[in-house]
Amino acid sequence: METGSSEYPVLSGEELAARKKRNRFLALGIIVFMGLIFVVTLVRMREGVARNQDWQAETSRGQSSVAQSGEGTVLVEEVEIGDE
Amino acid sequence: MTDQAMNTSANAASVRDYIDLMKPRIMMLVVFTAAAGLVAAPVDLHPVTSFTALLSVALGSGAAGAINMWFDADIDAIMTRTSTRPLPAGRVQPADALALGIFMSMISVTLMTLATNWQAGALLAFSIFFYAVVYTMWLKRSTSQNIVIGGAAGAFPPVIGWAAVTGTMPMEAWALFALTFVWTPPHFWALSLVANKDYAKAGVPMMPVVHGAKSTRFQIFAYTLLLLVVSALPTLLGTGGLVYTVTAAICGLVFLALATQVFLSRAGDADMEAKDRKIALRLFAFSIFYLAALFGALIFEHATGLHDTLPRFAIWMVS
Repeated sequence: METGSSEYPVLSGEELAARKKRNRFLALGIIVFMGLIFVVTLVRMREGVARNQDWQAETSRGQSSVAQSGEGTVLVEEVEIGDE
Repeated sequence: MTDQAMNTSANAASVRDYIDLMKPRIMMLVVFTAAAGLVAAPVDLHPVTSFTALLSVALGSGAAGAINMWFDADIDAIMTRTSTRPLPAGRVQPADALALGIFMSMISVTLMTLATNWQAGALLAFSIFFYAVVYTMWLKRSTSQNIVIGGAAGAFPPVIGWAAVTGTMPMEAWALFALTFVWTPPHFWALSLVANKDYAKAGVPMMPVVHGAKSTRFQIFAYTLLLLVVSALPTLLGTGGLVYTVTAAICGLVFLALATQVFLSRAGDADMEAKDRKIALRLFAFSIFYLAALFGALIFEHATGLHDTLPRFAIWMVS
């Protein structure tokens, strides 16, 4: 390695090749990281949607049984306790 | 080595040198034990999430390893066993190693938290801190109990794996923690009996250097007895089934036999012979196999469903 007139080190051929390899590896790492974040986001969103659907289904089941009985809030509590 | 010579070789650093900074062999064992926690937890995790959790643990382990190598570069240069590592050999610059460690710590914790939950992310962050700061910067150079307390850092992965799946850290997960924690002293001290001159030269207060080889050999034996008891915990708590129990019993007896040989040998003494050295190294090598076999058995029986079909011997089901 020498220091040129511009104060930047002048790298030898071997050093340049090593730097290129390191940079390629870093680029690959960044691409994999981005891809992973993307896929993980999809998986988590799907899990969130499924959870939300389950919750909505449970809620609507509870509400329909309350509507059928026609006895109001008191029964809502009974249904919830019964579910637990 | 002059600054210019060091910079020259550091500019030619290969990707392999940076991978070596992350201590890949330790990383493999850490990932393996984390996988055991992940598989043994009573809930299923999406394969992508599981892969990401294990990758995060691997990156976290590598980050802690890089910070450890950065801080220990001075003593690594003195010890024969570690003198060829990338930093003492001048292939990587210290600032680069530290930057890699800090950057990967942040990446691993962020990835774990995003992919699983904050409990697993927080525990991963704590385990990196424990290894890099508590063990490396504090305990390693100040007490002969360095690897006993510092062993906790290497014991966290099964708990992290369990937390990644369930968001909790129950007794069963801590039983796996205890297994690795109690395994660490006989594992490391078997090696330090052979390398005690190196440690003494570098001023690292390892057990044989401070308390002598005889005391170390006795403590290896005592910790092995304790390890046999602790290895039964997963069985008693229901995490380990028949496959785990049989593996733990057989491997435990072999471990005890080898530890007894070390106890009766002169390994670590000034007049140690080649056969004593061999006995200590045999225990060190078997200890690695022991941990891999026990966690491997757990992974095998949970992954294949044998855990649910074969008889179990749990007397205390916590969850």
